[in-house]
Amino acid sequence: MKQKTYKIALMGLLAATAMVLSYLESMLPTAFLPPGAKPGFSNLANMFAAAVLGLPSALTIAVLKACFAGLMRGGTSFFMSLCGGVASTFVMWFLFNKGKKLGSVGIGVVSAVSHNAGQLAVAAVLVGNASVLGYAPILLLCALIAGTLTGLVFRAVLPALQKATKSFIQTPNRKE
Amino acid sequence: MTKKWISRADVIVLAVLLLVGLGLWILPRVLPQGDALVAEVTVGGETVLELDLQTATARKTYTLENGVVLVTENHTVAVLSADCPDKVCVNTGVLSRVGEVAACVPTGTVVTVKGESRAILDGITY
Repeated sequence: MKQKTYKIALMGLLAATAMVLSYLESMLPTAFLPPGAKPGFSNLANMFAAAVLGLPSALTIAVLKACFAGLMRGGTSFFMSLCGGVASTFVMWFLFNKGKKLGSVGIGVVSAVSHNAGQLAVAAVLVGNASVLGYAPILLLCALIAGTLTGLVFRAVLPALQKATKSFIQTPNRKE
Repeated sequence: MTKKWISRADVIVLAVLLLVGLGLWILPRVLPQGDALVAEVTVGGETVLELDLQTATARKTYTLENGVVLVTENHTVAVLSADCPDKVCVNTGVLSRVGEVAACVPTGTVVTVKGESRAILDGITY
């Protein structure tokens, strides 16, 4: 029981981290980025949750992040963030726990691509026009850069994160 | 989780996706696409406006019912302003090539440049 409480507290911390990262990211100048592309730093929290806490916790964080995006930027952002977040969380969780072939860079890249794919799919539905897929090539190239950076940062902070969260989870890499 | 910073599988995934991305990005730019003819404007999937780009030389603005303002000039089209928080459509900039798209998801507006599908060769005989 106590273990569960610690886990919920850690999920709250990670969700808060994701929200702060996505807020800080929104303050960055986007002039040098193609339209619609974002660095996606907040996915670090999702990655850690998907790798260490398991699928339900990681999905919860993705949903909370979408709610935050909805509060900050409106209903469209909620749906875009939700579909992108849920798609990439499933992919991350699978690659961390079942695939085990890719390192954090590969997982970062593939999950960034799936995040964009989920967002484009929901965008096509929302506008009722499949031409929005014209944004796909440039978003794919951006996802490669953003995903590589996220993966490298994740690899760099992982030891520190594991140490910091040791008191929350008794055994690291514990799966549900 | 691997201890290495980057694994062989990571590099393969990166390389494959990079090739796909570059291919998708470069192909429309090197293949002849014909002249940009019309800018089709849809709101919620319904075509509300078709702008003739061939005759559009002088600067002219169009305001849609949902507040999106379009501008045509010198055979190109761009979204000038839109009532949305992220401004993806405005930041997309000027559309001049066939297949280029500017989308404003919050207002459901999509601008697509369409052209005639002109064959590269007049005909092929075997």
